[in-house]
Amino acid sequence: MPGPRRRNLTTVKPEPGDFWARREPDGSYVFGFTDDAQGRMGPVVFFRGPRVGREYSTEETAMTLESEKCVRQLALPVGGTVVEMNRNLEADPGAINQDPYGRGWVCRLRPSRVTPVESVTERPPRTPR
Amino acid sequence: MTTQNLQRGRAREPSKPRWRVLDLGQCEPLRAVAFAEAVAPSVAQGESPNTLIFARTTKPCVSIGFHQSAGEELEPGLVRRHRLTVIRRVEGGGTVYLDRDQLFYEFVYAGTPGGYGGRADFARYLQAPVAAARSLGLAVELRPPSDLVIRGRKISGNAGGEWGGAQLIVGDLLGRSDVRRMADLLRLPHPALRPLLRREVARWITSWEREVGRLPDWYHLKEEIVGALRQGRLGPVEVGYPTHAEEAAFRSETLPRHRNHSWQSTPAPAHLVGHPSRRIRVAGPHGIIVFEDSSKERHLVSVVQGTRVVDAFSVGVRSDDALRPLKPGTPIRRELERRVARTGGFE
Repeated sequence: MPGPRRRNLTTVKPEPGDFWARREPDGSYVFGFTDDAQGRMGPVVFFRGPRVGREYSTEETAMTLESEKCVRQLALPVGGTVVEMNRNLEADPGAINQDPYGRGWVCRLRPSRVTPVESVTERPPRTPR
Repeated sequence: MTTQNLQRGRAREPSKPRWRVLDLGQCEPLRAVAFAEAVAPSVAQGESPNTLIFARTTKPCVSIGFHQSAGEELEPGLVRRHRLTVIRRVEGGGTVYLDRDQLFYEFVYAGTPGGYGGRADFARYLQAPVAAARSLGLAVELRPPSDLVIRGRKISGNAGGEWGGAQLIVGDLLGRSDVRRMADLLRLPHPALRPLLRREVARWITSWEREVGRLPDWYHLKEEIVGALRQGRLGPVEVGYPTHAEEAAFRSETLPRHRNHSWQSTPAPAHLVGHPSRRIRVAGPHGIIVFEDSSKERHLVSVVQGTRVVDAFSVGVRSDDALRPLKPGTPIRRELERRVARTGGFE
């Protein structure tokens, strides 16, 4: 079925201040929205995250969320394979607003190549999980 | 400053985007609701200017939000009986009943890179329908983020989304509101809630006809919106037509996708499926929240304004059980108020 993923339709490409990232011992990165980004989005009422095991580029929609009656189709800040997703967000999307560096983490990603993750994300103020 | 510098300065000023108005007139529901999805890629790629689309549907239909599921939201018997087309739009928000007595408008525009649209965009673009209604005598105002209201009653619901690389804001302005049909379309956990929902919909939804006793002159209303768009200085505005590429995209991508069962039946988030509690937003801060009692032998029903419980009832799970008021100050009412507060109500 033709749709946004196949056609590279994502508009909202992350800016450096939109995501935080933290390197895990195995080389993967945990990502989440920064406090500034969640504040700009407003209260999140729906969240559909990326699929675990799928490889995403930075040009395609990896997740959708809805806040203040706006649907946003978002790309990941770096390309790579999603190895874990925060499934609790689908039941409790408000965690993105309430605890963006903790319960509101989004996914864990293994970058597809040597990507300067730190250059497109912020460091979290504390351990995210 | 030299003349050359002045000219350079002018050259650096960002030029305002052009706007095209597409009036689709009265058309079949999918074209009225989803044609913007075929226009969006052209706008994003700069092949078409930013576009304002007007349409009215020839047949009644139901539009559900991007993250909603028809199975969870709608009363299937009523949808079948009235042969309503159900359309899952790409914008957010809730369930909307559309018929020919409403004007459907959609702004399709190139978004700001890295921007999140939202409140600022609603305020920017909805000033056109607000100004148009005001110029025609209705005291319409924007209730953030996106409702147009008259004395607190909603006359237009609006939602935003992204498609084809462009941003979209969609809204419908109610010429006449079929309050009963709107209330009866929504799936409820108990039949006794139906009269309560009808009452709340009638209380918080209004229409052009209800305000001034007649339907608007649709042509005049559209002219006023276009005039307001010009006065809002968003950019030069001209009336245009869909391009061949947009018509082709509508036939080859938009229509097949909407007719595909997997698009229509995209599941609601797992935590909402079959859940005994239900949140039914009527308009803005007004709505009904239903919880299952801990005994699972009754539902607790709250009529909510923001986070405040203005009315509360219990009703047994048997379909012939009736609503029983819960008096303020009683332990069960206080428990219900606590549960509503935990959900955040309808802020």
